[in-house]
Amino acid sequence: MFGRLLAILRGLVTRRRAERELDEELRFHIEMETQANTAEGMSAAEARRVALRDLGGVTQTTESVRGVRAMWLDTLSRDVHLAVRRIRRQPAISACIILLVALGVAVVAAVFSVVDAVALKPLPFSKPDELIAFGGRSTRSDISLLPVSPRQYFDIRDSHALAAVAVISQWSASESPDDIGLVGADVTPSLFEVLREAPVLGRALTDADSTLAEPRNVVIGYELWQWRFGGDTGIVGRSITLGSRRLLVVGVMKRGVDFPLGTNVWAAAVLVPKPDYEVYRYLQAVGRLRPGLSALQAERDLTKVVGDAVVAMPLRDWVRPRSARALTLLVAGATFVLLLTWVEVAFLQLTRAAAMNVELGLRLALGASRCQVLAQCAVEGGVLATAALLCAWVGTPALVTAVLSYLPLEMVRGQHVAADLRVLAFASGAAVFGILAFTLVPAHVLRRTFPGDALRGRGGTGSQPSAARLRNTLLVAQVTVSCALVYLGGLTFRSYQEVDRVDLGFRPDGLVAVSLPRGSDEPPDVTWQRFRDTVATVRDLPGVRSASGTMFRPFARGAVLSRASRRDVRLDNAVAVTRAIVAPGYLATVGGRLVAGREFDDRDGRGAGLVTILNETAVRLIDTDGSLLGREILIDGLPYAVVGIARDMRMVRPDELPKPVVYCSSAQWVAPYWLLVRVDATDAALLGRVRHTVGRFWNTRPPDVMDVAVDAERAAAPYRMRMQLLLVLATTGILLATVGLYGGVMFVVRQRTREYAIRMALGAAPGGIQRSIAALSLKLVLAGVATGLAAGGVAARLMSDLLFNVPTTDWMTASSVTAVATVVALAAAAMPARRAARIQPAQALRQE
Amino acid sequence: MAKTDLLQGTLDLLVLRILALGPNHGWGISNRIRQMSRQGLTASQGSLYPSLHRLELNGHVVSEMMPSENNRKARVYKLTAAGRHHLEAETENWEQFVVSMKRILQGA
Repeated sequence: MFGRLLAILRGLVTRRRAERELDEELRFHIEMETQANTAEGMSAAEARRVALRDLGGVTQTTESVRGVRAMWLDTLSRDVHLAVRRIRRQPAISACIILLVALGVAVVAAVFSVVDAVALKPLPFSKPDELIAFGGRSTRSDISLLPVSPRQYFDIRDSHALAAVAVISQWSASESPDDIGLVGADVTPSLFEVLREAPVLGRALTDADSTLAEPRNVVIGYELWQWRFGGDTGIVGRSITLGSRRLLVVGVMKRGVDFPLGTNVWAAAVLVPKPDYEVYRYLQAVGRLRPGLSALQAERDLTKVVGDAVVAMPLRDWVRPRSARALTLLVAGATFVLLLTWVEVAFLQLTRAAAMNVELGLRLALGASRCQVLAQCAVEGGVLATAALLCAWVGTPALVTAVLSYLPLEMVRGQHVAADLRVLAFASGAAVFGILAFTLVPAHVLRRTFPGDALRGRGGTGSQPSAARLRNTLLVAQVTVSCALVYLGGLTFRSYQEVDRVDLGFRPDGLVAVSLPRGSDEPPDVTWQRFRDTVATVRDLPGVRSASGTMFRPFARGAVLSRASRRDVRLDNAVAVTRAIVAPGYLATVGGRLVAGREFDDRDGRGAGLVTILNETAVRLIDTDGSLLGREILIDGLPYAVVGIARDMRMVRPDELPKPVVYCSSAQWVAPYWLLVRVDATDAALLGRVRHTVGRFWNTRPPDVMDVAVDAERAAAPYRMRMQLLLVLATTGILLATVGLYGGVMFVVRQRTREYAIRMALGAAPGGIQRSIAALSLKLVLAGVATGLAAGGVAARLMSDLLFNVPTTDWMTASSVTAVATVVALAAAAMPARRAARIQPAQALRQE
Repeated sequence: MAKTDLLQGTLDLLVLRILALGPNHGWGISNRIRQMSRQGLTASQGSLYPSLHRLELNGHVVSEMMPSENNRKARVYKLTAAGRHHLEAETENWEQFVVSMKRILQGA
């Protein structure tokens, strides 16, 4: 039958060729016939005439062959027509099937395209195997490589240990609300050499662009160019303002290049070899190996050059961390949905098949062959699957975006993800699967349909023990998948609650951050004095409680990493710590707490001895005794006096594990990049006064103000999104399960009408029958709940790092799931049970 | 000349029977039918081709364009497994039919 369909399709596609070949075939016939006639002694003309006559004319024969083919096409179009009519006759079920398959295909296609781009495809650069990322050895599990310092970069560049080397420092974050969606990076112009990528428009960055003077020369990403500037080719050489930054576009990067971390604005980094900067490890290093060299050899060479342990890894591994658990979760989730979809489809199809019983019987009685009826089912499946596929295609791109936002940022950095042809092929494969399901279930029914029984109103399916088993298995499977989804949904919901409740260690409400101009050429002392004057003035504004400054504002990307140790510990065993450079009054302003000692103050200036404040985790890691206050420790080899101990704060993500942080004094290092102000209320007038004060002291236009509370809200977004996604899936699952269960129980009631009637005629109370129906529903559901919770538990273990403060085996969630399922079971059974109780025995039996 | 003395539907059976002996092209099949027709059966050559194409669409035969003896491409038909099944089933049907007809005609 499939071969037949293929032949028809082939006929459609290669119609012209078929005509030509038919012509050739008939000519061959005439020639052979003529030859044979000549051999019998006819003249050449006579032989040909007789040959033509015997064939009945070339044109006539061609016409009748065409007729045969046309009739076949006719049958197909009639089948399609009939299929459409039947689909329209059961709009609810058909719509359900189409939506289900569409949902299944879209989810799977979206997951596939993401997994494909993030884990399977090679990096989109030339000779990606030569690319490496490298840095210092890290003792922290959340950081694979320690950044390098400018000094180290220059040493490596000059040593020619690598074919090309580049360093990157990502902009801390958006500096004004308009900047959202802008991901900038300061890079050495050699980055494009390393990646071997060139702009599609304008030029790449050069060393001459390495200046902080505004406007800075930048290369912008293709997508940003399309989205912000509508692909205007006149963009090169134009000065643009993105948020608070004034930039001059010199080039537009090739499409799909967004390295690293989705960067869409590249500026030339300024790496002034100032003594201060040399010990700062804040640059992420990438490089291209010399041909034939392995990462391991490069690691050894680099270690020699830097004089400190260097770790090198293929860029692929840095971009795509191996801990791809989130991917596992995604795949598991998609499989769940697909499973649910097929279970539902098979079930709906079974319900439909039961309804079809009479019709099938009628058609069989009228002389249709089983094969023809099956072909009809396949055509119907094909029409449904096509409709579903179309729906799926509309929904897939949006789903891809949703799935991407669901993944942790580290998973997708530097990746270009879009639904492509491979995904189309994958989705189509899924649809073929659907057609199979559509065909096989009716085939199963058909095998047991006998025209006589069907027409007499006795369904072939329900009374067959194997069909009943199949139906029950499907129902249990459906409940299983729904329960697993509900369980996972419950866990993410509780995680979100936990994240919402988590103690950040500081108070984002009423805290605002103002971006300060940076990197000017004035002496550091002058900048520092300017900052102090600003703080003093801002602090006196009515409505301002306190003000301070920091290098990186809370919830922003970017950090300086250092290594800290007790004086008697070798540098190799030092603890990787986050270095925060903050101004006096920082902890008081953000709402943090000092456990012991003091904050920085005017004593900690440039001339004085270096001082530091440690957080509790740093204290614990550096010295197990915890008695560091007042003692000296080494940070990147320099001695610091510990003057204070602060409580841990969660300043990157609300769910982060406590990280070791060492605070250094802005006065001794770099003047803050951000002014932090704690206000009574974030009202526009007050914020306006703060902005103008800053503008006045720094001789710039008033900078934008960022509300830290908004950032905090955004930082919890992944949890909210995860919760929403799973809750939507779970709700859909519950609804589907309820409908399926209702249909299933109703089906049983219909099948057993006679049995119930007899029981009632013999004196059974309607209540007993109702109870037996409810018990049937409950039995199915509870079986599903047991397996569903087990499956959900396994899935939860896989996604444990996406949960927060919730055990994977959570009895509270499990019991809620059971309660919900019980309610669903009873609700689904209620209608069919009432119907069964209202059976009039005499009437029901008379119908036999 | 289109004297279809063959019973409706029997041409297909005949063609399948001929192809069961081996792959053949249209003319070759028509030649075999002619030999049979000398034994008392006639079939129009014109109805042969629609029959072949119908059998192909049904999946009972497959065809392929192949070079032939006179430098022209000829379409060569070959019986498929489905075609062989069909042939067996139809042969049996036919035999039953013949037996029944005989019995009726002789009994009458």
